[in-house]
Amino acid sequence: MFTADRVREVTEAVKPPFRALFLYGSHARADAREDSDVDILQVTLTHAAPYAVGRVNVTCYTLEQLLRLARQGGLFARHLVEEALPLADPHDVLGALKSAYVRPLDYHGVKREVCGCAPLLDVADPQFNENADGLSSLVSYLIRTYLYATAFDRQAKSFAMGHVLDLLGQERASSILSNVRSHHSIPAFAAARTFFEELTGTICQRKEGSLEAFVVNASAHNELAMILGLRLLARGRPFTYDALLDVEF
Amino acid sequence: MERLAFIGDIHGDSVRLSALLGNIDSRRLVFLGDYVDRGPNSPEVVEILMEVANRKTNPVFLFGNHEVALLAFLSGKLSFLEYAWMGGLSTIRSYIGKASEDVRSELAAAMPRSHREFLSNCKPFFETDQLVASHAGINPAYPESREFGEIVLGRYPSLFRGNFRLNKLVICGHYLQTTLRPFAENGVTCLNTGCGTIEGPLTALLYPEMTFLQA
Repeated sequence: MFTADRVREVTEAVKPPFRALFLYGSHARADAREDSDVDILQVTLTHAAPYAVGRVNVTCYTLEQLLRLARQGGLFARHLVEEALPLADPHDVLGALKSAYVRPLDYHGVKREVCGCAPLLDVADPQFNENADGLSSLVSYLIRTYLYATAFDRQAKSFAMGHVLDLLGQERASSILSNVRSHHSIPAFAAARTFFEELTGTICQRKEGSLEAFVVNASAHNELAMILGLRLLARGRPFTYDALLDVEF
Repeated sequence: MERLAFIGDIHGDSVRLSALLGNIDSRRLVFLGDYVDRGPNSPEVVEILMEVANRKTNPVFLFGNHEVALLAFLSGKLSFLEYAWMGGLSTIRSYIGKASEDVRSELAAAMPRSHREFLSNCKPFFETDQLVASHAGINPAYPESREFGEIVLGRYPSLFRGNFRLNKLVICGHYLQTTLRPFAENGVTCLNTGCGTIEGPLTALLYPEMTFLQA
């Protein structure tokens, strides 16, 4: 149960300023386990990187970004529109999102994009160790997105992962996802990657000789692969426009 | 007074560039930079500009931050990630087609030397007694400054409030006008109307008439 004290505690963890704050995920659905993280959406005034404070994960989007996602009918927008609970929303951002949201006919396009990301998981062990956190998060994200897309094409009722896995008969994904998210190890990653290949019918093999080359080619037709590829290359470092100002000419 | 046409950010949209140039009468052309990145056909844009350089009378080509970024990437001063984040992937793709491994080397090999030389020879600003034109405008705190890092790479949103002392019109691109209309108030005219980025038009300012053309 998300009590008033808990709301205050979470709100205090958020770095101001914000236009609105929402709780989403298992705590918003009231089906959280003892060890579940708290997922917060912070609607920011300008672009900002996600951050975590203890068990509170804060995802940051501007209103303009959210409205674009809502108009595109993406899964994250659906998640918010159907399940988010306002912790602070004086300008009725949630109402604006609900008005802007366009539900797609199906999620075939999302699944195609996720399958197109398979080459991002083609890494040897030494490369994995250089970016264990990023690759573990990536494989987890791709599996979950594919499962959600498949489940909503089969009339899933909520984003509760237990419900999604029941519906799809994929209960074993639960331990695979749990392992890769908590251990960030090569065996956990390899097991998740194998599961991803079986789930999607893809092979995690990159034809290009570098991640950069893959990102260039993917950018022509797969925005998700481009963005996730750039994030992998960034390894958590924020990019700022000021980089150009540091160049000497 | 010399008759001029200032042309805003093009960003790889060669179709709009050709259309706009076809509608401008005979006068000196001043391009405000950002010829490459984001849009679909940066090489074709550079080809058209090189043709303009050969056929028109004394045109002026100013640097935009995206030309600087492309040249910096080619010379190894800017990382792939930084250039990609600025919208360079479309430029890389449109020059090399399919990438295979070392993107920087492949781009350097595929890009005609003439293109690189043309972009390298851009100017930081254009100035007369009545106006100053540069990609990023001027730093309102130092309106007399013509430092490269300020007038080409800077970012001064407060410029649009006109809070600077300079007895000249400031003409710039760079600052995206999401209304798709040029900004012209407080002694500042901004011509970045989203060409090649948000499917906006390409805009030209005819001077001294102070009228706009769009394609």
